Amino acid sequence: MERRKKHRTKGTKGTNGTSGTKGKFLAGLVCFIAPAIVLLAVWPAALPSISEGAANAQGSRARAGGRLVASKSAAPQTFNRLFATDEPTTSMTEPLVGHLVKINRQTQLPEPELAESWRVSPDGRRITFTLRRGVRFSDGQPFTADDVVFTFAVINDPNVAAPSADIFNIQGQRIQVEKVDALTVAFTLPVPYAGGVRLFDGPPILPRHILEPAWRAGRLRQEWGLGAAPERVVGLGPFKIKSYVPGQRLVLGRNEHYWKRSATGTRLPYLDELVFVIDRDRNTQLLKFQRGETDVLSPVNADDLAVLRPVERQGRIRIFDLGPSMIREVFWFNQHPGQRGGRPIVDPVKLAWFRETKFRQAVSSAIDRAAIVNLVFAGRAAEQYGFLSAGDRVWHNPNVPKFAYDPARARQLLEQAGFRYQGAQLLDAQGREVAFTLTTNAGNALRAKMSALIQADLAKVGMKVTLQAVEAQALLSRLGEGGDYEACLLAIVSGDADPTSHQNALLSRGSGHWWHPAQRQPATPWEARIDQLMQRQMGALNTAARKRLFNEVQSILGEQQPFIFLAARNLIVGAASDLGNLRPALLPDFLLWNCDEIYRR
Amino acid sequence: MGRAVRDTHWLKGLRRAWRASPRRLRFGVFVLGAFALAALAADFLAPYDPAMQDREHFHAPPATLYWMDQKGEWSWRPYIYRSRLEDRIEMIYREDRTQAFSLKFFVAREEYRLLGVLPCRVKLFGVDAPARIFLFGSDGLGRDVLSRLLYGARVSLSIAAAALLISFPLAIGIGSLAGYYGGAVDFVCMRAVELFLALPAFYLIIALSSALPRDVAPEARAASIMAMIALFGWASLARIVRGMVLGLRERDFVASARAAGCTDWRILRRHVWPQIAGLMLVQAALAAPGFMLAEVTLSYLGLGVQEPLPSWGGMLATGQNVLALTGFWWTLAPGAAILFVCFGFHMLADGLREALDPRAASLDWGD
Repeated sequence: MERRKKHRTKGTKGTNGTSGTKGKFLAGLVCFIAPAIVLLAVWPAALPSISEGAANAQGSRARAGGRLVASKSAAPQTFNRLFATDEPTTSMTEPLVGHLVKINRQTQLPEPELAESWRVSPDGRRITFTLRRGVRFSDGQPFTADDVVFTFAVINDPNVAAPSADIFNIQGQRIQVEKVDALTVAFTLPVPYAGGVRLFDGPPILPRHILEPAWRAGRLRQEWGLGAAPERVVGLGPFKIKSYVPGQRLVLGRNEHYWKRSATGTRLPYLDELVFVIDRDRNTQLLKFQRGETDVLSPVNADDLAVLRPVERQGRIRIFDLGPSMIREVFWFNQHPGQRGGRPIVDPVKLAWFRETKFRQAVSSAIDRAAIVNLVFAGRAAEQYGFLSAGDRVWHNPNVPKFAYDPARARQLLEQAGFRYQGAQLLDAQGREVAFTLTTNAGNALRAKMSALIQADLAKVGMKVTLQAVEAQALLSRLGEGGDYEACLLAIVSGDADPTSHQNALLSRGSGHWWHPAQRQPATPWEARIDQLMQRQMGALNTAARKRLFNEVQSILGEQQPFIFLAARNLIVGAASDLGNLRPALLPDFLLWNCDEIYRR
Repeated sequence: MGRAVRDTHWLKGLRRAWRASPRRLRFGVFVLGAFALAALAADFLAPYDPAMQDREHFHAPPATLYWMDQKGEWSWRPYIYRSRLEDRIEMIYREDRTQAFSLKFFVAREEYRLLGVLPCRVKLFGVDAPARIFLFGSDGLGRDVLSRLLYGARVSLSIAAAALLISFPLAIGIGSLAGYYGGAVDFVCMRAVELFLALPAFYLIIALSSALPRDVAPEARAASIMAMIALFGWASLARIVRGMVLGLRERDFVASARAAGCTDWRILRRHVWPQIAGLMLVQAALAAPGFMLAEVTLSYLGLGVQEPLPSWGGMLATGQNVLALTGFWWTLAPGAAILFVCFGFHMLADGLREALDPRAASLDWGD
C-alpha cells in the first residue's frame, strides 16, 4: 500500500507537456490494450467491481487442497501466455505466469507483484522496479533481473512478433530496458505516460534459462506449443501444467515454488488443482454448472438466472451481480467518405445523413433503451448514454448529454435537419426515403433481439431498417477496413480502466475509431478536439487534470453521438458456494484473477 | 361430358383413387389444406400484426381462458385477465383478477385486405384494449406467437410450394429430354445432374445466402432463398424421371404413336408424362417437406428470412437455449407446426403412392 502511494505521489510531480511522439506512443499503447476494445461476440469481457465482501475470509479459515473446475469455450492455442490472444487461451495460461505489477481487479489500481516497489522519475519517463527477493520459477530456478531483461528483449524482437509488442514500440523505437543490479530493472519510455506502470500487468515474465536457446534459434513460438512436455512450461504463477488432453481438459497443478503467502503465512495457492474443461456450447456450460460439474460460470447471462436461481436457493452456488460491466452495446453509422474500387464505401446520399449530427441525435432519441434493458437483459443492465459505463468507477462522467427515449424529440430534430414526413415515411431534403441496413454478428441472440427492437423503434420515426447478420470474423474484418456496411450493432469492451486504453477507439487515426477509422486528418472539428484532449490527458501526470480532460472527451462524444450507446449489461458471475476468498471484479478474469487465494471450504 | 371422357386417364385414376381413398391421403390433404387456408387467411385469423411488440408482456405464457366467473357460474363467453410481470428473472406473470376481458369474435380492427384484395376490417377474435390476448403466448419481444405462426406459415409454406413449382418442371423437362433422346443429350444432362448431386447443397445454399447483397428487402430475400432451394432440389428427381422415360420409350404404345407420326412433343405429353404423373406426385409430396425444412434450417441459422418478416425457422431460432425448453416452451410452437405439416406431406405421399400403385388391382391405368 505504502509503495503504491509513493509511486503515485511521485507521479503527480511530473510535467504534462504534449507532443506528437507522445501521441504515437499512446497509439502504440492502445494496441496493447487493444484487445481491450474488442468486439464482443460471445465472450463478454469485463471489468472492475466490488466483491460482496467475500474476500475477507482470508487466512484463518482458509484450507489448502481441493480442486476448482471451470469450463472454457475453446481449447488453448498455446501454453505461452505471451502469445495468447484469445480469451480462453489467455485465461488458461494466466495462472502459469507472473507479472512485475498486477492491477487489482477490484480497486482497478496497480499493486506490487514480482516487483516489490517502483519509482517513477519526475519527468514520467523512467520507471525503476525493485524486484522481490527469493522468488523462484516453478522448476526451482531463481528469478532475477536477467529474466526481466530477457522478457523485454523477446518482446522487442520483431521476429518474435509478440502480440503485446506494439504497446512498447514507439515510432519504431522500443522501450529501453536496463539491468541496474540483480534485483533492479529500469525502463525508459520515449514519452511521459501517467498510467505507464499499468502496462507491466501485461507481459508475463519468461524464464531465461528455459527459453533463451529456443529464442536464439528462432523457435520461440513453437517451444511451448500444445505438444510441449508439461515440465518444460515453467513460470512464476501459482500453478503449473499437470496434464493436457487435447480439446478436452487442461489440468493445472499447484506450483510449490510460488512466492506468495497468505496473511497468516500459509504458502499459496490453496488449491491443489485448477481444471479447465473445454465445452464449446454455451448451454452445456450452463447445465454443467447447474449440476455442479463445474465450479464457476463467468460470465452468467441474465437469461441463465432463471435456470440458476433454484440452485442458488438450495445454497449450492452463489451468484454475484457486479453491476454495469464495461461491455457497452453500441450502434453506429459508417461515416467513411472514402472510395474502394472506384465506388464510394457508403452511398453518398446516406453518408450525408450519417454525418449529420442531428440525424444521429434523433436516432439516439428514438431508441427505447429501457426496453433493451428489460427485454434483452432481463433488467440486469444499465441504460447507457455516454462512452464509459458506470463500472469504470474512476473515469466515468455521469454528466454527458443524454438523448433519452423521446420519439417526438427525434422527429423534431429530424425536421430541424431538413428531413420531412410523407405520411409515416421519413424523407430527406431531396425527397428520398430514409432507409438503411443494420449489420450485426450472426448467431448472437441478444443482438438479434436488440436489432429487432431498434428496427421497430426507428420505424416509429419513419426510418426503414433492414437487418443483416454477418459472421463475426467477417464483420470484424469489414470494420477494420472501414467499409461495406451502413450501420452496425456490436459491443465495445474495455480491457483496462484507464483513458489511454481507449485511444484506439477515440483518436481519429485509430483503427478502432469505427465510424471512420484510420483518418489522416481529423474529419471534423470535434474529432480534432478529441484527439487533442486525448493527447493532453496522456501527458498529464495528475489524475484530477486527466479526469477533467477525459470528461470533456465524454461530453463531446455524448453530444455528437458517433457511437450511439444502448446498454451496459451487468457483469454476473456464479461460483460454487464452498469456494472462499472470491473477489469477483469487472476486469478480466472476473472470477479467477486471484486464483492463488481461492480455497475450498 | 365429352370433355370428361377425353380427360387423361391419370386424372380419372386420381378421382377414383380419391373415392377409394386411402384414409392417409385424405388426412394429408386435410392437414395441408388447413394450414394453407390458415396461411391465406392469416390477416383475418391472426389477432395482431406479426411485428407488433408489446414490450410490457414479453415471454408471456399462453393466455388462460376462463369459462367460469369468480362466483363459479358458467360464463356464456370465455374471458381472460390481464397479467403483469412480477418476477423478471424467473419470468412469472401474475393475473390481475380485478377486471375481466371477454373474448370477442369478429371484432373491428384497422382495415386490411383479405387475401390481398378484399377490404376488410374484421378479425376473427380479440379482446378489448388495454388487454391483449396471446393465445399461444408471446415471444421475447412481446410479439404474439399465434399471429407470427400464421403469417410465418405464409413464408414457410410458400417457399416450399414455390420451390416445388420451379424444381419439378425443371426435373421433368431435363429428365425427359435425357431419357427420351438418350445418347449425347442423355450424357450431358446426366452429368449435370451428377454435378448437382455431388455438390454439398446445403453448404452452398448457406454460402449463397450470405453472399446476398445486404440491402435486399426481407421479401426479396425470401424469394431468392426459395430460388436457391429450388436450384438444388431438381437433380435427384430428374434422374428418376429419366429412368422412367427411358423405360417407357421402348413400350409398344409409344412405338405405335411414333409410327403414327406423332411429334416428340405430343408423345411426351400424351403418352409418356401421364404414365409418370402418379409417381411424380408422390415424389413432390415427399420433396416438399425437405424444401420447407431447408428454409427453416437457414432461418434457424440466421441466414434465411430476416426480421421483421416472420418465418417458422426464424421463430425457432430464438429457442436456441436451455431456457426456451424449460421456461418458454410456447415459443417452440413452430416446431409443432412443422411436425404437422411434414406429417401431412408424408401421409399425402403415402396415400398417393398407395392409390396410384400400378400393382393395386382396383386401379385402371388405361393402357
